[in-house]
Amino acid sequence: MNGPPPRTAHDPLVPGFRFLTDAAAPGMLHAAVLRSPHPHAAILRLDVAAARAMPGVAVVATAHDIPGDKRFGLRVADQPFLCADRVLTVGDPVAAVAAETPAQARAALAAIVVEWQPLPVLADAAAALLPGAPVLHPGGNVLHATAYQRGDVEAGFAIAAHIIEDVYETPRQMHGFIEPEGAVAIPGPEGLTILAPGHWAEAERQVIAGMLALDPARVRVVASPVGGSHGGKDQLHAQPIAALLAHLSGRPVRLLWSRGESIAIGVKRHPFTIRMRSACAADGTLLAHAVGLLADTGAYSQHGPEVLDTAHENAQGPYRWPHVHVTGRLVASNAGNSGAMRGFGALQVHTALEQQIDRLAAACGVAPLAFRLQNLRADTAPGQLGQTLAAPSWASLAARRLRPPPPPRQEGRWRIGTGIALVEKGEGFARGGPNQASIALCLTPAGRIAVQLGMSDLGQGLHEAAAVLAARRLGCASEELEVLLADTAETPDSGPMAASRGTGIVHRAIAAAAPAFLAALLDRAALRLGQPAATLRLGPGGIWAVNTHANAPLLSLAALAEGAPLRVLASAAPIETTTGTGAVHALFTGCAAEAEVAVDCLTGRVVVRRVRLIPVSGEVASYAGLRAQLEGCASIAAGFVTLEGLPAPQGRMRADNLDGYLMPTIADAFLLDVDAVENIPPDSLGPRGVGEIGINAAAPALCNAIRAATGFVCRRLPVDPEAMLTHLGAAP
Amino acid sequence: MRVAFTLDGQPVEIDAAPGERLVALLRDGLDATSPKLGCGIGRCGACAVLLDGAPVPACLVPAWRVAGRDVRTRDGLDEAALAPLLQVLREERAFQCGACAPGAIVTLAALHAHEPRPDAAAAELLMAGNLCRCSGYGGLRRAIARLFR
Amino acid sequence: MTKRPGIVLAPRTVAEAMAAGRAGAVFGAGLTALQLGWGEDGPEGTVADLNGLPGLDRIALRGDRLEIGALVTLEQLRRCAALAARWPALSALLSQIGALGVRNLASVGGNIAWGAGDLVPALLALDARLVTPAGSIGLAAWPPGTLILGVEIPPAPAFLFIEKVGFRAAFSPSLVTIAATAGFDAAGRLSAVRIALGGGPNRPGRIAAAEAEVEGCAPNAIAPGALAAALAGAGCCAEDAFATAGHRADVAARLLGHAFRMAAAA
Repeated sequence: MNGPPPRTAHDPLVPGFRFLTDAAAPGMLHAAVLRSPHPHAAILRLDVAAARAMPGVAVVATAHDIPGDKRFGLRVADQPFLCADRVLTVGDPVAAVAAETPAQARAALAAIVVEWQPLPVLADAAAALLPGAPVLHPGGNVLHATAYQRGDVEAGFAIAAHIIEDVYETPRQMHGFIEPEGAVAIPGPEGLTILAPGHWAEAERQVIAGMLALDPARVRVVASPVGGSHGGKDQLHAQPIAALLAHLSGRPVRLLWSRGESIAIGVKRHPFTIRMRSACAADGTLLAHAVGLLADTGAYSQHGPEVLDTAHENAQGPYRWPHVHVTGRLVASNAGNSGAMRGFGALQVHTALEQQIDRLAAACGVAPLAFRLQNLRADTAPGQLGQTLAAPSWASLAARRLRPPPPPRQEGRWRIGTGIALVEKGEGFARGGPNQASIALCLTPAGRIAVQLGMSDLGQGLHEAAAVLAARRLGCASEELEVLLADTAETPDSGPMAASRGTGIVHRAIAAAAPAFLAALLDRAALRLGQPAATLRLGPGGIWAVNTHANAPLLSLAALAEGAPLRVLASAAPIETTTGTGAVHALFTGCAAEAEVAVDCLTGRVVVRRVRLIPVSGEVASYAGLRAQLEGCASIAAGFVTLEGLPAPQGRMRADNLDGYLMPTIADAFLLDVDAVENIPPDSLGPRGVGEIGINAAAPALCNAIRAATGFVCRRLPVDPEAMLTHLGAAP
Repeated sequence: MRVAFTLDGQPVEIDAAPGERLVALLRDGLDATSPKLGCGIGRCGACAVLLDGAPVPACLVPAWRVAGRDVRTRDGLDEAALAPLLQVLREERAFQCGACAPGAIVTLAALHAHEPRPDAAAAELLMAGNLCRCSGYGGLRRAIARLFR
Repeated sequence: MTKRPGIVLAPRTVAEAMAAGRAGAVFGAGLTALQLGWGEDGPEGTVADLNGLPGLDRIALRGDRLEIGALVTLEQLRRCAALAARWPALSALLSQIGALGVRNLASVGGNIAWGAGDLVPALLALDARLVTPAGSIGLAAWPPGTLILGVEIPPAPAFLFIEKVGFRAAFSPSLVTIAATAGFDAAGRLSAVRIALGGGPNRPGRIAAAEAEVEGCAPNAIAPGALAAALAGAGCCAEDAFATAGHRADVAARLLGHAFRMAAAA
């Protein structure tokens, strides 16, 4: 299917389309949040009395006003909804106001009295590890650690012919979604409704109910559609404070983050410092690989442990290493919040690993492609942490479509180079994660077939995928379907929309639900029509006789819908493994990439000219949809390598808006070729998710292209034009 | 001050401080939410509206500059005239989440209607002020190639 | 942070505008740079909105000089056919100033008066003159903060080079904006060289040391490193969060050297 996506209810191009942050309700209050101006401080005094008395103010909330849980978090609830005695980053929320107008809310903020005691600042992970550093969390500043060992790396290094050792640093990248974070919370007779873009409506509902000490049945969360996320709305953002203010005031409350707040306090990609020491024999056989990972998670753990686990799991790539030693540490600092972002730790480690591979290849005089093919793990080998896999990643099939890069060349002031990369990444969550996924198929009273799914449409086309796959399974037209997403009042819990799991989940959950739904439909139709269900089938418009030349259904869906509602719930089984060391995935997807760059020898700037992505996608439902996902991935990868980064000197983000943090515009766009590996040996797992893998393959290919063009090793991303010019040497 | 102007073809009047931006008047005061507030400093293009026919960032227009003028948001464009553009944008999947779409559609429609119409290369460069984070601009470039020859 | 507009004046004549300025009002036209300094709250001041002054929104070609009113928007100037035909490098520069939407608001006068506008180094290299209430003056002699009514651009010399270097392909802050003009003497050597630099945090101005280095040279015979030393020594490049002063000067020198070599090859 190559054409435009089928029209379902979700079409941002129609006039009047509203995102959740565009919602308004009668009597709605405007919220503003008092946030810490300090990266690290104690709150000595907090007095909101004057603010409460300001004109138009309905409610002022502090931590003391929270009825239930005071903190949230994934593995550890370490993040306060409102800080009570200490702030750990610029932007940490301390109090919140809801007032009749935005100006009145801001004026009330200004009337809140806060006495701060600034504390020593941990500007980054390295500072947090120094002896005598202030301790940010009860268990210390190391919030998570990983370790894995196989063989004896020192023995491997001792016999190696070539060793490449280096330190790589990856940037704090911003998601840059166009719709900033926000929430509208609306109290009502049935409870509190929260409209806010998010990834996992059911979990968000549970946390908010816990915060307000409410029965979750009295909290409804609608989390889709989302005006862009890329992982940035995968954790709670504006929802808790909006819900608290609505709960306390009894009135609807809208809380929208400014871009400045989003940059200060919204999650970012984890900056990593990666030490790698990698060795091979004279003939290019990989021998030993020692990796040290250091990730800066900022003030609170957020998705940090999962990101470190993923980097750890992916540090060996798809290669065969006899001797391996990987250690990782997730460290807290006072520099904002790091959390989920598309690529999720694997991206960072692959930009280091794939450069190490290219440099080892060069050291022993083997071509980069041949070197990779020579060292690929067998398709049927266990996972890199010893786990049994549900299916091979088929990275080998992607690798075999790579072409040897042409040599670099000079074109006027431009130096042109081509690089390759080969990666794989786990889909879904490691064992023990929220891998469950339920879906419901319904016949609505109006006679339409509804697909209900708990995950959100982030722009990745979940609506479309659900409609197309359900229509295909059920034998009706996708226009007859409604898709309802991420509304806890209606949809089942499908786990989070994350980790590239959407496509596979929809495929497998619909496969699980469709037979029972069809059976229920046909049984009801059989009763109505007085003929056996086996003689009937579902077709466009309703129930048809099997093997008929009739040109109309025997019974319309509307007629069939009269009477009791019909809803069938089913689940996709989690794909997990019980073997292996640590947090391991059972399903990996391979992807290869070729990239061509042009380096401007006069300015040091790197321009991306072309990228080719070779994802192991399995059967493609929509080539246009696949290409759209991968073009977005490639653009984010280009930004990661050539343009984007948010340093935080002394713990303060260097930019406060999009004039200080630049993302690619259409003028930076480049051609993307997609060569999807569809023919993989059949399995029951369905198509693979490609939401992230394009970033993870394109970024290291770009790094290798830059090095091919100029010899410049991309130790620090984004590539600094000044460093490039220094490397290229004095001007002629 | 009291500001009177034409919004999407209808006369409107609203109270505003002189420095209040048009984007806030539209989104908060008049519930016209198709322009999105992506940055507030004219760097993302998501709040683009037509001001007397020219695409401008609504976040850079102070209230007093709107008086007596014609403002069109995406929702106020002529749907019949827009339909062929939207058809191509849909077919080429120019947008994914759609948050950048209203500002981009306003700008693209103005470029398409301009005399003389720019060619595809010029139109692309003229869209550099409309950021999109989802698409990598692939679909939009294909749409522009079809719409601007 | 500048004062929010509490009072907005709408002068109808130049005399009214100047009186408002003397009384402490800030001049504003497109307001695109000015309003970024307005906080949402805080003290208020007075803005004199110049958009009502008559006759300042036209572009006219008089002989071989271009006369541009101060209220002409940057986008109107970019689309000017006469500019594209006779000063193509300046037309191309305008494509790199802001983006379409901002250019539809921003005025030529504002870009000059703001102090950091990318037009300034280009106009200095072109030896443009400003029209003010006190008459025509050279751009370098303009007293900051005073009213600009228009710009006059003389015909482009034989060698005209303007480049704004950014951090991405379009809609970027400036790393450095460099402009150079020159003629050629009978022997093909550069004469009447003007080199100016600005953009971003760089102090806009002509670089006498670089001009001296190049004056009288054949374009392909400029001493290596000489331009770089001259630009670095001039101290007009500045650092900001995006780049160091040294890098800016280095890039300017590389671009100028390259432009001169290309001129020699032509």
